[in-house]
Amino acid sequence: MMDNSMIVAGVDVGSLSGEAVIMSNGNILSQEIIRVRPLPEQTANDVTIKALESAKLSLDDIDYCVSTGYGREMIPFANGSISEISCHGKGAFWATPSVRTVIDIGGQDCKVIRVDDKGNLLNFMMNDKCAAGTGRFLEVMAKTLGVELRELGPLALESKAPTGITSICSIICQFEVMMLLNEGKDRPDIAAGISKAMARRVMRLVKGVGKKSDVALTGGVAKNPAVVKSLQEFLEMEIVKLDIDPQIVGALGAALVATERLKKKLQKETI
Amino acid sequence: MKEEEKLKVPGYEYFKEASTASQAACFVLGFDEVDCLDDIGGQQFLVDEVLPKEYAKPFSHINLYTVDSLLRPVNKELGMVVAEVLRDWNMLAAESFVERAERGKKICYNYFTQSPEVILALDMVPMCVEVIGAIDALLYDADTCSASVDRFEAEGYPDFLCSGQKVALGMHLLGKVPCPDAFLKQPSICDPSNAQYDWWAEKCKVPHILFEAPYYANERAFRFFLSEYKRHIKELEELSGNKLDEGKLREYVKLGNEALSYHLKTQVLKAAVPCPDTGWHAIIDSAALTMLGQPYALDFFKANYEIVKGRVDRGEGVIPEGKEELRCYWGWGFNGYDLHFMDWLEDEYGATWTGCSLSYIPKFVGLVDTTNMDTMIESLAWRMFNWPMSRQGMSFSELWVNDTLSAARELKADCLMMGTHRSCRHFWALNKILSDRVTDELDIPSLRFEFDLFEHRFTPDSELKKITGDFLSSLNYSKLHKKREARYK
Amino acid sequence: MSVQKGALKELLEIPDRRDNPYVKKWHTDGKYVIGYMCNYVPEEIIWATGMLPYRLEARDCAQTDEADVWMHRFNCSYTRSILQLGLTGEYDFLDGICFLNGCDQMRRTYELLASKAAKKPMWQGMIAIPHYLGDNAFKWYKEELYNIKEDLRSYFGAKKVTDEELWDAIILYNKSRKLIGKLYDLRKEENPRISGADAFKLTLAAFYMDRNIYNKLLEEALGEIEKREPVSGYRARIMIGGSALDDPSFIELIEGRGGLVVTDTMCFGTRFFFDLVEEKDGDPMEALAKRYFYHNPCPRMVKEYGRRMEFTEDLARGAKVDGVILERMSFCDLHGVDSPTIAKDLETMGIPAMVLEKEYYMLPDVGRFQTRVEAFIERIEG
Repeated sequence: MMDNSMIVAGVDVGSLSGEAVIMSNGNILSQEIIRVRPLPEQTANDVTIKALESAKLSLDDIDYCVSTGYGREMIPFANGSISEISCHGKGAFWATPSVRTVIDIGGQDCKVIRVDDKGNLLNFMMNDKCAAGTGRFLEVMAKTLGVELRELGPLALESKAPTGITSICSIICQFEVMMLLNEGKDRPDIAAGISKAMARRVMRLVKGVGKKSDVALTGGVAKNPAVVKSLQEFLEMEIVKLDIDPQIVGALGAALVATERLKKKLQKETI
Repeated sequence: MKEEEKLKVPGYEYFKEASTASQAACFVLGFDEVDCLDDIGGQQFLVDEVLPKEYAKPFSHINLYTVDSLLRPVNKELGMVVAEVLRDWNMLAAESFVERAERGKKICYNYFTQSPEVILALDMVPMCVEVIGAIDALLYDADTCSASVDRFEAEGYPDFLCSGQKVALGMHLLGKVPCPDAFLKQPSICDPSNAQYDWWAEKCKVPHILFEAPYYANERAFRFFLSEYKRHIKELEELSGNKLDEGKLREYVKLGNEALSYHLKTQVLKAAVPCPDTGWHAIIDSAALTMLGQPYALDFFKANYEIVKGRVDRGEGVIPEGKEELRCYWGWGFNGYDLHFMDWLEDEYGATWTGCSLSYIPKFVGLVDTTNMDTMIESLAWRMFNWPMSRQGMSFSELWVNDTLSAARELKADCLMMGTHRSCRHFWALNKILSDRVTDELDIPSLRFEFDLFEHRFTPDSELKKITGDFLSSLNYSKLHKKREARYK
Repeated sequence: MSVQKGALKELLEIPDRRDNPYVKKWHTDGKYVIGYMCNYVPEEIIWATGMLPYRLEARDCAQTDEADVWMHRFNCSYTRSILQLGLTGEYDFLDGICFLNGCDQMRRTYELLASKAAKKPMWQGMIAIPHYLGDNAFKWYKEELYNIKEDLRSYFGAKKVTDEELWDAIILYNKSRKLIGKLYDLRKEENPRISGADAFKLTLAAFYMDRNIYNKLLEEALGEIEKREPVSGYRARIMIGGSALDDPSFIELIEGRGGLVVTDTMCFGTRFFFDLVEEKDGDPMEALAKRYFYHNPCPRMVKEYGRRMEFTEDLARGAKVDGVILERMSFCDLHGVDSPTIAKDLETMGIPAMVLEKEYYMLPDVGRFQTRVEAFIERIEG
């Protein structure tokens, strides 16, 4: 039987950051985000220990740990792993059970995930190799525009008339932005144009999978209010606000899977 | 049928509106002394204050590159003809859907390499899929065409497929263009179009009537092609329920011959220095070639011939006075969304358009022999066998390369522009062979660059200008002129 | 040729193109090797003329720098990889190439192989095949086969090929088809004794050696397989399909994530060995033309979607698959339309399907593939 005090952990090791969520009895005890270390196991270790510390726990207290993210298989203390696609679905569904579509925009990837009324994966699509439609795209564009990534969203919200950025290739987009700057176009308008271009690219995947309300947005780009706004316009619906940090959804999903797997394991042992 | 009933007929509304948008363009072109929209206060002003209400609505989505190009002084005379042709072609398309609803007249969506005389003589309506896509790209603003592309890609299909069909397919999925009664295709030429026509036919559950063109350009291959064309005609007869009538066919063939003869004569005139023809209508030439046997092709080619002839007689060119000319031959064709780009080449760099492989007709193609049914069928087959793209799609690169070299030579080109549609697998596999041969045998420079036939987002106008502008400013015109003069001594 | 390590092991270590003992032996015996690329080239004709048909492949080709000079990035990476190998001398052992206009990119590759890669004069023959299945088209294709047979023979000064020799070749090649069929039947079991990657390797070996030897080795290997331990613990039975694939590592990747590949609709798989040549009296060329022209069609054949879908469904049901992974190479127009369409229809039938975009060499993208394959399997598991 599962004891209410049992501790599970979910660790998400991505290409730019690592996240850990510690849970017990269906509640989040703590969560942490760090920049990646040179090695995935180091990232996993550091972020998990940090999260454990905030919960006043140590590695030995973990009863089950599931890892996810691109470094998911190199984590020695994890009992198992699962793809981040399933995790994002489960995590967002747990945070807001009305969610049926999850748009996850990470640093290198963009995924659109459909889940059923139990939070299980129904279907998904992932972007092609190119950077358009990922966090990387915004990073490059912010640099071209000469602002910090976090300033890009608020800047775009000041715009009254977004400029048209038409290209679908991030290299040509960069060139377009430079041209617009040379033409003396207002920077908020260009920033808004960038957000729109980004949202349009993401919509290709949304259309491919098919949207079903409610729609949630996860990953770092969810913190950019202008992209959220553009996406809502294209979606013609509101994006629901998750009550958790959108960046930890993957780790949360992994922690939820850890709970499920621990339950199963204990059931087996009892039999 | 009353207008409100017509509007319920699938297909009517879109083409009617396209016709009205073209009529609005004619209206604007009717203003004298107006060279660009800004002269009359810009688009918004026109829509709000000047245009009659029924014109204003479609005009608010019009492609401004196209309007600006039509209004350019040196283009304006032909521009009016093009706007009228677009108006009439679209009106006929709209009415054809009504006729189909009223009395079952059959509509065929055909590939652009098919000469439509036989379809017309069987009392069916030919509508070229690629021209349908071009209407969206050419007439309307970027958002309209992008919406069509996005709609098709939303089905999960990749972006690298040819927009020549992708746009029309998206228009279909958006409910603008209904299913035809059949698709007609030469399936040998290109894979992206084969796959997309097949998809569409499968979706509409209508016949997909083929005629195979073989790989070789020899007598045996032509005999096979002819046998395939005859088989194809039999299937068309079955579809239409009519028997092909010699007299009727001859009428259409004669009309087609007349139109084509003007195009062929213009082609010869374009060897004149300075080049007497403008480049903006490159894509219109290709489109008009799909309308042989209909009055539109004749109106267009005749008008252009007369304009070009007039310039040759007066010794005029089309580039601004005092500019040095750089004569370009295009090894592929040009895109259908940015007509203004060719104007820009002429105005900024004196770079003229002497021809392109998607509209150049080799001399040996000739006109259709109208003696009897057999001669007409055989020479129509001969025409299609050697039609732009049909011919290039055949054999190894030899045909494409040699045809391009001889056309470039004949038209006294100083430079080969190899701007090419991203979905042309053939061209991208032979572009290096072509540019090498051009360097070796003609000793002229060439530029390879990418665009998409109808998708402005792939390479926006600014990007096209940057690539070509950088290249053209690096060329030494007078050196190239000396070379040319030496070549033609 | 005696094989000490056992037939199974011998076939699994697919003869390396650079150091293929079977090709070497063939050459030492003073005979010629003819390359070809497409499934619509009848191997029997080449064999009956006394030559070894060798299907070009591009395994292990990791970059295409030289090929990219001649072909653009808008051409698919499969054809560019083959050209790359040609340009870097990996195909110097060929004495000729039999061209066929399978798809636009493939046929443009031939001339570059012939004009830019070949270092010695070699035989180049062309079979032009129409794009639809009909009587007039069939007549043309048959004529093409007669022409190529004569062309190949006269170029090398070989003697006239008799009907008997053609029938012998047909029987030999049919035997391979039947044996590979048996191998595929083994994969239908609940716990097959062979993985998808190994089965694919055994199939591929057919393209690179004398079929007499291959048939003998495969027969032995089938016996050895029956003594192996069954595969267990897999999470989902997978079928694969889509653009040209001659590299087992893609299947290894799927199987490394808990899938078991049990069948396929690949042109290096079922579409290669399904459909026997009818062995009855009469004209062997007619029999060959019929088999090759009308065999389970590749998407390059227009108006055959219904048959392809039926074939796909039959295979999926027959092998009790849980899901289908359809790869779609960038710039492969034919599968670019076919794979998403088939995937959609499979989903409607209740069979989960995923389209996976990939380049021929997938190394730089392995992590992303793993994630997608894993998520797909998680989706199947529910």
